[in-house]
Formats: sequence, C-alpha cells, structure tokens
Amino acid sequence: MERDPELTWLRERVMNVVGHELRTPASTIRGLSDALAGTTDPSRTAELVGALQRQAHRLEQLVDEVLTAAGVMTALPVGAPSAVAVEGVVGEAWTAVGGEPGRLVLHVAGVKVAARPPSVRGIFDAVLRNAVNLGDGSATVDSCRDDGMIAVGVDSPGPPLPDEDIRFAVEPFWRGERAVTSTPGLGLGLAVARALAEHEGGTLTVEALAGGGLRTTIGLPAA
Amino acid sequence: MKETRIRVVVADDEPDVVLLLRVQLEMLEDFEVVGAAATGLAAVDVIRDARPDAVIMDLLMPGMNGFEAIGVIQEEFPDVAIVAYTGVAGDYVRMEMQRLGVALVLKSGSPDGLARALREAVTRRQPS
Repeated sequence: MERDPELTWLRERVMNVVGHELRTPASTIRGLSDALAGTTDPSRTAELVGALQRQAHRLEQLVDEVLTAAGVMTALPVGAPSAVAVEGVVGEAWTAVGGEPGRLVLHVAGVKVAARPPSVRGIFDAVLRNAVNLGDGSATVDSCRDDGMIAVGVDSPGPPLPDEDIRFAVEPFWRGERAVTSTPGLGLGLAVARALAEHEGGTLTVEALAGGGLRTTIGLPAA
Repeated sequence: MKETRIRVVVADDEPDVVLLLRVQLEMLEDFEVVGAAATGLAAVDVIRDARPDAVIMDLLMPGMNGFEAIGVIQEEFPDVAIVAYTGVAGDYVRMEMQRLGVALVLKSGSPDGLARALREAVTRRQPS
C-alpha cells in the first residue's frame, strides 16, 4: 500500500524529534544513575548528581511541552472574547519565559485585540520563548491595524535561518536546524501558537528577519 | 595501568553526555578520554591536537554536525576510528553510516556495547 507522503514525513519528524529530544535525557539519566551507583569519589558523585538534576529537569520541561500542546489541541480556550491589552500580555509572557528585563522593546501601547485571554497569553508565551531560547535573547514587538484586524509583529533577531526552517517553522514537531542541536524542545510551540491564533479567528505566520532571525506576525481581531 | 589503553575523544554538544561517557569509559580501564568537543568543527581541532585512537561522534551538533565532521576526519585523520553515537537512527542514518563504514551505537545502549564498538573500530583501523 502506498504511504501518504505527508504522513510519512510527519512520522519521520515525530520519530526524530521524540527520539533525540526524549531519548537523550532518558538514556543519560539511566547511565548517570548507573555511574553514580558505581562511584565512591565525593567530587565525582557531586558532578553526577548535578548532571542527573539537569537531565531530570530537561525531561520534565519536555513532558510539560507535550502536555501543554495536547491540552491546547484537545481543549482550546472557551468563553467569550474580551478586549486584551497586548502590551500587558507580552510583558507578562516575557517574564514567564525567562526573558531578560530591558531586552524587550514594545511599540504596542494602547493596542487591544478581541480574543480569549488564555489564547493570547499562550500565543505570546510560545513566540517569545522561541525568541529567548533560539534568538539572541531580545525581541521587538510592534503592530499595525488593517481592516478590523491587528497584526502584531514580533522580531527576534538571531542567526540567519535556512529557508526550510522558515517554511516549516509552524509545523508540529518541526525543529529548526539550530534548535535541534542547542535547546531542548519538541517543536510544538509555534504549532500551538498558530492553533490558538486560528481559534481566535486570526493567523500566525513567520518570515525571515532581515539581518537574521525570525519575524512572527500574529493577526487577531481588533477590539 | 595498561599501556594499551585506547585514547578517545568525545564529541557531543551535551556536557552531561560527555561527563557520562568520560565516567563510563574510565570505569572500563582500557580507555582514556583525551579530549572533548561540543561541535564537529571543535572535534576536528581536538583530534588534530590529541591524536586519539578513536572518536565518539554525536551526529546532531551545532555548526559542523557529526555527519560533516565524519567526512573531514576520514579525510584528514584516516587512522582515527570513528563510532557514531546517537539518540535515534532511522533508515537514512543507518545507511549513511554503513556507506561511510562507521559503527553506529545508540545512546540507549549499554556502556559495554559502546566499548565493544570502540575496540572493534580501533582494531579495524590498525590491522596487525
């Protein structure tokens, strides 16, 4: 039977991402605990315990990412949309994802979108987490209004990204070349953000940022 | 201490994996970790300096990845045995390693399996 190329591609992505991102900490934890059982050297013990703690934390973060994605995909926020001030949500999200104070530049004073607050927060959590983890750690947020929609742009400078990474950035389980090798994650963040934006009647698109990095544009109904 | 210890460079961008491999190999006595690198490019430099018998090469690393580094090492240091070390290996990775004549060990495997692959790879590189 001929395989659906799209499904085959998704299967390979899932296998690669899950295999690398989950197996590495799981296998490392097992190996570290075996090594710990076999050592009596106090300094080596401390090194191994530190490594165990880091790997356990990493595994926990990955499980959280899966659960967040599964939660959003299966139970999108309900309730009536309300007027949400973009500046406040972005500021809160920046702090939540570990962004450094002073490295977020906002040009969205007074801008409000009509959406469910948990959706807006979820969108900016994912987009800004990418900026912090995969960009240079800074972000600039601006907006423009067009035909009843607000387009919020998030610029996250960083190294130039391959065309393929730009094209598939919002696909679930897609991890960019740089992400695969530098930051733990399963490639679900932008896919979740796009699902939330679409749930609110909006859009989420990405493009290469001039000079390197990513520009993410979130379109949401204006309040 | 044996004189015939196998001198190994570990290339992996995950510092905890490097620590683990160092500890596991030290426990086996016939190995000595003589260097470590977090990128393929750095691995080539470390190999140039340390002249090891073998390198354990993670395949997914920033900058020059393991696939590219293997090509460079085979070209520049044909006497250095290479063991690819990866979390997951699909058909492409398996076929590519087979084509390059490089042993492949999964990170989920045992230290004994890795040690065996290293010994065999070194033996193949240094026929008596």
